[in-house]
Amino acid sequence: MSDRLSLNGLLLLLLCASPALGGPGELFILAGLAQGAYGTETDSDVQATRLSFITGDTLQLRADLGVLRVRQDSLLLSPVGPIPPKPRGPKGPTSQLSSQMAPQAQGDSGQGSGQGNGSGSGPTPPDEPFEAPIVEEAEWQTGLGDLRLAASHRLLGGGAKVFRLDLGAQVKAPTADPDKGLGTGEWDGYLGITSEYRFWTATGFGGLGWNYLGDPEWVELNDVVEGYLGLESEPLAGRWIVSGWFEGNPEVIEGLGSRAALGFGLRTAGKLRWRLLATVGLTDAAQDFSVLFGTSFGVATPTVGTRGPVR
Amino acid sequence: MRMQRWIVCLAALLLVGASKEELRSSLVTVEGDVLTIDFRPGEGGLDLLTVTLRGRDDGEPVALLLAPKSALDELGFEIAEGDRLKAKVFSSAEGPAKVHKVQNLSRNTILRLRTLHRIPLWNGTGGWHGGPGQGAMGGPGGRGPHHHGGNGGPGR
Repeated sequence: MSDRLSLNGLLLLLLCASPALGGPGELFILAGLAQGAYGTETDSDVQATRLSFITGDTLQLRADLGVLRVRQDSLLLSPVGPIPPKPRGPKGPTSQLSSQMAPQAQGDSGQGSGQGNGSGSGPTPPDEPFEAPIVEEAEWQTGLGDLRLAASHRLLGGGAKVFRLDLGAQVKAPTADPDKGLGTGEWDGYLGITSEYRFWTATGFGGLGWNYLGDPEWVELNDVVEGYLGLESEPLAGRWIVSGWFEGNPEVIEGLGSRAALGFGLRTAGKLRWRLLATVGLTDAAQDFSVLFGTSFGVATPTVGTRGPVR
Repeated sequence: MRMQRWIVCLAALLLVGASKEELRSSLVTVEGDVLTIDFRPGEGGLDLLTVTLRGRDDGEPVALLLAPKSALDELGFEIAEGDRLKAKVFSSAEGPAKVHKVQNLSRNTILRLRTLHRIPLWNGTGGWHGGPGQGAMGGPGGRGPHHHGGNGGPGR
């Protein structure tokens, strides 16, 4: 109930703040799911409903918040790859998950994700008698996700120019409950550049940035660079816009490997815009697939004209 | 099984909405140097910038109906005589052809002025109304991974 109130409150705040932030904006309502095994024996399931709000052009601001529904033993999905959730007990599913997720890290470095046995109490003593894990149906947890606030500033181009280069920063506030397995409970940051070049029949786009990842007490995360590169079509058959991209980053947890994924997007132009986005993992450190479907529409648009934003 | 049903529902939703074949078929691409720049009344009763391009191989000049100068100025789209333009236009038997998309090859600028349904992207006072994307096809949040504004994954 409190999660729903928080989400509604943020949405109301963003809508009210839109004119002050630079005029009209766009609100996205998205729902999706992701599933992955990450080269382990443990599946991960996440369902999400998200609200994103974007306003401004030369200076663009964005807020993003969602309600997550995750299976109890699911890995946390960060933009740079899976992270083991907070351990729940000495013999709980999370400790099994952590050891399955990064077996090399346990054996080689001792500092990887495999330290997730018990509630921060360290590795299980070797002389403790082995107890077979109890296989039971994992429960689902629901709650508010992390709040992401981003700002970007136009460095070059934009407007009618064929070229555009933006510098952007993002902060992840740990609003998700780590005890429910919805987040790490730590602050994250991102700094990077994004760019696009508009050709006559398509637009190329790409980005390169650096992630600071706050370390939760149960796992050490590497701060990593990440990048993506893609191409988007002009509207086809009147309104369909198709895009594809490649994204990836070095390993976040030692032993887990680098993440690489292919993305596919399909969206519509028009007053009410629909979008479908999907990714397919190319490496074990990427989720096997994710699907996101939603709509977006302009808010706080000028009332002078007879039409809403049409793109 | 539940996943398959979900994906089928998504596909069905995306396929809703008929294409506008008759609109697409009337689009043609023209290219040439700007001979003259003028204004004439257009959509919404506003004065729209009109340019005449030198015809290919010194053929008939081609007249193009662009947009209000205020909307073009807002996005930094400038035109001067002698500039080379490439445009996708709705073919017209009478008067200047309405421009769907135009590129000024001399100044490295490109702009979509009307949707494929011929809806102008400016408002009733001549201001740009194409959304906060300011003339970009996608606008904010349109491309790439979600955490960079492209909405590319649910758990992020």
